[in-house]
Amino acid sequence: MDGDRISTAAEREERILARRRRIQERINAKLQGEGGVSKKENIEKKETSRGKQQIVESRKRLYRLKLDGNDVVTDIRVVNDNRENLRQIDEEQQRQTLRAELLREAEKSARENASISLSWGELYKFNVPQELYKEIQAVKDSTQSVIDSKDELLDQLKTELKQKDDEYSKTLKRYAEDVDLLISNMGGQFRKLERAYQEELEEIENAFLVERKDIVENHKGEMLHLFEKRNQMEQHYMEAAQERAEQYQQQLEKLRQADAEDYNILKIRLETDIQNLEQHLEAMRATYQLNTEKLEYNYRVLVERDQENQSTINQQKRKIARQRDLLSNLKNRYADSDKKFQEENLKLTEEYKRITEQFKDLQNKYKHFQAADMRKFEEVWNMNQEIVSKFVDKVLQADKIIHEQQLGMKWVAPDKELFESPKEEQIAEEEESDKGSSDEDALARQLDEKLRDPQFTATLELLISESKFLSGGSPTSQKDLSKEDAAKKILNALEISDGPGFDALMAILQKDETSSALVDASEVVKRLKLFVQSNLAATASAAASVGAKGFRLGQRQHVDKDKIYWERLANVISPQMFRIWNALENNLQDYYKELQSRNSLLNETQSLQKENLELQKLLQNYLNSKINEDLQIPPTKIM
Amino acid sequence: MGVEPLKIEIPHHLNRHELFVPALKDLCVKVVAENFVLQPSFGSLDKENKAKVVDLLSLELPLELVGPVIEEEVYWKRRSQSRWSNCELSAHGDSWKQLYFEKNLAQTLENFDPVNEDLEELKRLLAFSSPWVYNLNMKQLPSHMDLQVLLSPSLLSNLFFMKLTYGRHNVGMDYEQSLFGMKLSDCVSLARALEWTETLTYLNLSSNLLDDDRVKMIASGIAENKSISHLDLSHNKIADRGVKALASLLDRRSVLVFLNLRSNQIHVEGGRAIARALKSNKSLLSLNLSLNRIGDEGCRAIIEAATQNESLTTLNLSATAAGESSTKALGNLIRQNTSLARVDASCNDFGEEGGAIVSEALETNKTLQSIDVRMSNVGENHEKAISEMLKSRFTF
Repeated sequence: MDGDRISTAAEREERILARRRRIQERINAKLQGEGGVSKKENIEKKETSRGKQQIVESRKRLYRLKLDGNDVVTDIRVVNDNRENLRQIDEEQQRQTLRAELLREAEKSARENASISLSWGELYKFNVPQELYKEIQAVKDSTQSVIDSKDELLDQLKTELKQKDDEYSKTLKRYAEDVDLLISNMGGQFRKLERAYQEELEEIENAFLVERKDIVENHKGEMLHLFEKRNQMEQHYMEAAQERAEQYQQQLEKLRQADAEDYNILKIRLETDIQNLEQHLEAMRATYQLNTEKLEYNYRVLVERDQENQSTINQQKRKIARQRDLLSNLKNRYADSDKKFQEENLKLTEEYKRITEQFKDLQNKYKHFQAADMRKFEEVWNMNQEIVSKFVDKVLQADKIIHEQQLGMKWVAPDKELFESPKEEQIAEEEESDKGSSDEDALARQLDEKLRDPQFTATLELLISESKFLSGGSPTSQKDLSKEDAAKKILNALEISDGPGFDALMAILQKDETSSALVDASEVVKRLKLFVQSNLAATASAAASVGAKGFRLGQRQHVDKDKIYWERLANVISPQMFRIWNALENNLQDYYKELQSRNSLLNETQSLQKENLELQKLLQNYLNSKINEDLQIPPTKIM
Repeated sequence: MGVEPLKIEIPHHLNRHELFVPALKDLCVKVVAENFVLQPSFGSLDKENKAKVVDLLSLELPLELVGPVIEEEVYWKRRSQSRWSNCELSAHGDSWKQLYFEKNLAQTLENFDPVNEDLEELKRLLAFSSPWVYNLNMKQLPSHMDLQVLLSPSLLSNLFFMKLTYGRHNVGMDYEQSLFGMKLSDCVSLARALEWTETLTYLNLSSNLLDDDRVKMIASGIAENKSISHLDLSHNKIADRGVKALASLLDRRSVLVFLNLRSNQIHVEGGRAIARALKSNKSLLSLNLSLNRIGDEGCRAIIEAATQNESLTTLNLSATAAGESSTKALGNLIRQNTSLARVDASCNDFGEEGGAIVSEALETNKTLQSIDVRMSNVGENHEKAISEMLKSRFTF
């Protein structure tokens, strides 16, 4: 580590040394390079700094001047201060001497005053007026002396005051002079400074001008030198250029000849090319024109179409919006109506059930009434038959009597057949129909068996899964149903109630008759539709031909038989016989009329006899009645 | 412009030749200017028309009315120059408006007569002048009014400069000693006022015949004050006791920057007191003790104290009766101190030796820009040498 550090340190030092060496070398090189013009340049260097130097010097001078000016101006203040200082000292001394004097004087006067006041006391001792006068004079003198000394002091003070006054006025004057001096000094300084600034400015300007001149001259010399150099170089260049020009001229000539030939060949070729290309261009232009027109036309068409499309798109959009609205409306309406119809459906189913119930009741009733009617009919029939047979017997009896007794002819009895009633046949038929109903039950049973048959389970499952809608009711309720019930429901809906129908259905749900593979789930409904349609058509025609017709025919046959039977009974007497009878009747009628008339006459006579008798009786009664007595005039009297 | 019925007078003197009718705008401007008292507002006038109106405004308009409305310097310049011939704008923040208000207020105060004039009126003037009054320069105050009124922050809220001299203009033969100088009662009121003024920074009480007792009173006021940085007590009668009171202000909490005690009656004791204060003070930048008879002893003490002080930049000991022993101290001061830029030691008695010491010491000093030793008996040679040395210290 240490070794490394030392080595790196040494390296660094080496590097530093090397750098220093390089710098030194560079400086030396510079100096040597400048050596040729060094003196001049050195002078120039000095001169360039001359302007700046001048500025510095000027500033120095001006600074000095300013300080001098300041001194000159402040000198007055300083002098004044000094004077004031001295004055203060003087004044202080004066005041002190004055104070001392005053003190002395005060002391002296106090002393004298004391002596005077003492002397006043001594005056009382003198009784001799002259002496007293003398003493008083003496006191007066001493007082006078005190007063004099005070006066003297006063005078002194007054003179001092005067002096002070004078001094004050002098000071004022001096101040005025000082102020004048100050102003003049300031003015002088200002002017001096101004002048100095002017001079310095000029000098700086001069310095700069000299500097500028030097620089200009230097540059001029340099420029001339450079111009000369340039001229020489230009000369050289011109000569070289001439030489080169000649060379180039020759070369050019050669090249020109060669190129001229080439050019001609090329020109010809190119001209032909140009022609070709021009033709081509024309053709292209034409096609281009055509294309442009076509494209323009197309473009316009497209634009128009685009516009149309735009408008149609807009329309469609609007329509879509409208349709969407409509759709939502319809959906709503569908949902509403679906609900409504579901309810209605439920209601109707209920209604249907009720009606079926009612219908079954009605059928029962109908059957009941039919049976009752039949019974009644039979009873009526039997009764009528009896009556008719009695009548027939009677007629036959009468015929026999007529034949035998009236006509004296042999009477032949009619056929036994004649009296055979159709009732017995009817009974046989009814037995047969009973047998048919039992057949229907058998069919249903057969269907059930087939439903349970494993052979059809796959088909049935398919049917159930694809046509649940046929079984009716809600899908949830269907789940609860067993498979068999569901299948039954569907079969009911398809109106299949017997084995063959079921077989046909199974057949339809198989792809083809041979294979047992089932049809595709999606086709189940279609096939069922077809099956139901064909079935419907078949049942419709069958019902039309067989059902109703058979029933009516049976009825009519019955009626015809009865008619024949009854006609036969009615025509027991043949028409000849009847004619005979008629003729007989007519004769007998006539006879009868005769008899009747006789009878009537007899009756009349009898009735007349009776009436006569009655009238006799009545008269008798009337006459015998009591009422006659009440009458004023009794009939008897009249009679 | 306020909605006003325009009273357009058709000038009668209009000649037939004067076909140019003045523009309606000019007429309006004229009317606005004439009726400015009724409607003291420029409303939405544009600059040009406002200037026109201002040009036409009367100079007699009540100050209270125009003070807040008119900002135009032109108007105030006109008004000031019509009233005073001498207007030194730089002393009044270079604002004519300020100048007018300050001069007006100073003049009113100087001529205030408490007997005939109402103090409330004066207070009103103070109140509405206060936004534009920063300086107050009074050369007399014959009313000797309560200075608490003047310095109350509620009235003159911007005042920071006050120069007050209790003098008397144009006395002539009615001179009486008692007319001049500050009375003790004035000092009391000033001290009270100083205790709670917050804006005043410059206080000048020169030429007020302040003796020791009065200065003590004022010093007690300044002791409570934290705003005054410039204190000028020149040309008074402050002696040693007063100076001691002032020196006690120069403690560590002091904010005094500039202290002028020129031309007082300070003697040796006062000088010592100031020297003691200087040793611990950090705020003072300029101290002027010229024209005091501090004596050699006192000067030496002050110079020695200044040697240790690192904040003082200007020291004036001109005419302080300094002698030889101060010279040595001065030499030390020049050699050791690095903060002083200007020293005035003129009009003392240093002698030739002193000159030699100073010039010698100056060679080691780099910070001093000027030292004045004129009239100090240092000898011409030394004086020249010193001034040369200072002049050659030309640096940019």
